[in-house]
Amino acid sequence: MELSLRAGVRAGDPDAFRMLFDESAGAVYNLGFRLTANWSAAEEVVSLTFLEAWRLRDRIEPEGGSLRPWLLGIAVNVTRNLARASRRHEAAMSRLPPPPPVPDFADELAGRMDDSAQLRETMKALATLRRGERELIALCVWSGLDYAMAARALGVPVGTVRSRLSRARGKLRKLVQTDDPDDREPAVGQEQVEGGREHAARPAQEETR
Amino acid sequence: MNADDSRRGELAELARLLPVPAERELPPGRQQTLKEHLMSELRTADTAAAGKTPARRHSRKRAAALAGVLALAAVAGALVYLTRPTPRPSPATVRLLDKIAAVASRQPTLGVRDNQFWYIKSWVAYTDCGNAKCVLEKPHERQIWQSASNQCVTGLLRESGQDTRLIFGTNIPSIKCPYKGSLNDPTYRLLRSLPTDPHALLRLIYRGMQGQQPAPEEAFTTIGDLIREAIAPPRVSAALYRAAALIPGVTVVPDATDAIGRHGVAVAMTSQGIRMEWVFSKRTFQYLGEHDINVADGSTNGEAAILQRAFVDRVGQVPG
Repeated sequence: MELSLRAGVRAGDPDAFRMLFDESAGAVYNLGFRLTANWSAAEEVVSLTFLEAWRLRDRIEPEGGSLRPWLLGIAVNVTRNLARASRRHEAAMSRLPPPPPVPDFADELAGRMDDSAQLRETMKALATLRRGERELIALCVWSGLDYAMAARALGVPVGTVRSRLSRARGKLRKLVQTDDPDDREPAVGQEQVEGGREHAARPAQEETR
Repeated sequence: MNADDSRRGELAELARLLPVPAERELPPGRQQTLKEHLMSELRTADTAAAGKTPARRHSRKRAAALAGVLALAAVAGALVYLTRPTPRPSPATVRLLDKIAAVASRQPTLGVRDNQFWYIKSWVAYTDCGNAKCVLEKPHERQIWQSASNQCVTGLLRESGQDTRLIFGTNIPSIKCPYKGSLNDPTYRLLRSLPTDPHALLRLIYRGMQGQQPAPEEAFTTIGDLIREAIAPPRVSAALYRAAALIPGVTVVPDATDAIGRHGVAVAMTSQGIRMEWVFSKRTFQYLGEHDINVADGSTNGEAAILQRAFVDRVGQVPG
């Protein structure tokens, strides 16, 4: 099934493409959100990713497993260059019907804001990581690709994937607790207890990029 | 523990360190709309292509020729890749790093106690991707206090006057406190224990990556992080610079600037469209800061200038 889907997409068969969309649009959508912290930008990432996938279909290797890593790699590139990708597909994007207005349910609205606010917090922590480290967190930790698939998706060696993720892990190990004016000058005795650990509420902003 | 287990462990730890982001389906109606739009665009694209039939025979021949060239290029690329394409740093690059290392090794050795903290003040701006698109933050002051010996001791980050306590992640089973850190989250104590032979040091950095191929850009990034917001003993700093001189692809940029506009000479490397520059004073060869530049348009992707480094006795204490 996978093989024929791959062959079909590679050959430019619209039915295969429709199947690919049904199968992977959700994964691209969620990855787009994780990279942009914005659900409507994530929709744009979905459309642009599949338009790019169609344009690049003859670069698909004839053999291989699921096309999802390839597609998620395109989504990462699209997100990196959202402006450039939109320009390339400007005409096509102009024909996309606008999304319906946000339904006026208080819960739904609150849900949306929470999602974005929470992810923005995470992103703030992630902003201190380098771009490549951030993208691999989105691909490996949140989208479930393994190291080899992520390496293929981004076109980097597996060693690069590994080193970026261990760097990210090192940087994130220091978790950040929100500031409290009373904490400005923490008591020395309390801070110097060796082996002491404290619970943290939020992720780190410890290292840079 | 085999490699697979340790990878699963690493991803599991990362997942624990980060909150799980929201997940949702495309709204059903919207999924349908996006799909119909896509399918209709594909048809349009095909019609447009079919409309070009007069030129097609011609262009097909050209396409075949081009494909041949591309195939050759791909083979050549693969061969080059296998034989390690990136050039060794030029003699000028090696000389510069050697001079920088010599200066670093002559810095006074600090008498650092385990219960002290390093204090590093810098001026920084990094790219923030938190809100639909990536923008460069407003440049601002950043001060950090971290234990000299134990990551489990709470540190402090003060950015633009806002305080954040740096608390070590809980639930990391592989780590026991006291923890002196790793190459990716070092303390002074960890840095003091590193080899001072540049070859051994670089091997250690590469070993941390455990990939099939050594990744020069990653080694450069790791060293860049270690020389910026950290303090290493003079002999280790010198070894870090000499190790950088062994990394293929490292070059010199004759004129660069740090985040507060100080000009200097840079040691640089380009990775994925971003040139990372470590800027050094042309006069004293001391480290000034880092500048990351998007090669495509010359825009800044991140910048830092180190203003002060010292050891202090208490978190929050500013050296006099």
